[in-house]
Amino acid sequence: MEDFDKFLNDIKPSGKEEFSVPDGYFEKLPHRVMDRIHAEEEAPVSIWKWLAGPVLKLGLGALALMAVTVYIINQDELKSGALSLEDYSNVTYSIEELQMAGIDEDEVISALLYEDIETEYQEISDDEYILDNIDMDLLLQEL
Amino acid sequence: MGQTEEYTDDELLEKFADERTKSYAFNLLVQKFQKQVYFQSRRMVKDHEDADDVVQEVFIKVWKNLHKFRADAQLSTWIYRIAVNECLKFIKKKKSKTHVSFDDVAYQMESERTTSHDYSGKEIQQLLQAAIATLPDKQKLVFNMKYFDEMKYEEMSEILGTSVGALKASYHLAVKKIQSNLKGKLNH
Repeated sequence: MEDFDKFLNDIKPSGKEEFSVPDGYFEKLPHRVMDRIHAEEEAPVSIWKWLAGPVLKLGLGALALMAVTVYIINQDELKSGALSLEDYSNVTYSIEELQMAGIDEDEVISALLYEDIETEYQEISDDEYILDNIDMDLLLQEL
Repeated sequence: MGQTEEYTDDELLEKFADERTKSYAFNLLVQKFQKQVYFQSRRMVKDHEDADDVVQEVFIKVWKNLHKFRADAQLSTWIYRIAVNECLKFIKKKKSKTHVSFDDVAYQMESERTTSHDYSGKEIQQLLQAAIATLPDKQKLVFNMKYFDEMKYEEMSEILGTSVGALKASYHLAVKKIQSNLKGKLNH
């Protein structure tokens, strides 16, 4: 292996002359490179390149941000057992309705109590209601 | 060409940063590094036309990104790194188009060089180039950087992003493969 290393060193080409290069290549290269750069810079930008540029990146970024925001909101609602959007709109509607009607708190409480009574009333059967509430005098008169 | 030797890298960068002297400075920069980039590319790709394509791409990238260059590395190292990437990209692209194996390329190089009138005439170097062409891309890079450019392992490590130990092992392996390849062809 040491012999081969020595052999490699012995055959190493001096300078950069191991390849042939066309005459005048290095004299012309800087100008050719500059010409290409200027041509690229002066070329009109196509609509596709424009779309693939900052506008598209910005648009995709905004969409991603919106998606992440919606996801986070949904996660928070699931965790806290919050109202659904439908429930929320109903509640909002009721409060607004009460405010618009000018109903005060006491009236609301009364209404709620009445609602309870009505519920109880509905639970009593019609026969029970008739027997319990009959006015015996009126009944006798009728008969 | 003497102009380029009058300016240091820092002076070239300073002139490049000034819009009034930008093109002039870049012209000098190409003159300064063109041979290094060309021969590095030429050793990696098969012929002059391909090397010329790579060299132009390298300098266009340099033009577009030089304003981002920070002096934490040498300018030559930074340009070398761009050239390495462009060479590997070019080879990959060409392979995907032609599906030619390394052995095919090596055989072609060997036969072309022995019949070429442009070549320097040293048959032994033709065989060496053909043997180098059989190496995997990155091993070829390591061999070229060490053998032809006589680069230090530390600098190679900075360019290729590979540890010094791995580079030493890669070079050793490359030399062994070249030795084995040449064994049957040379009376040595």
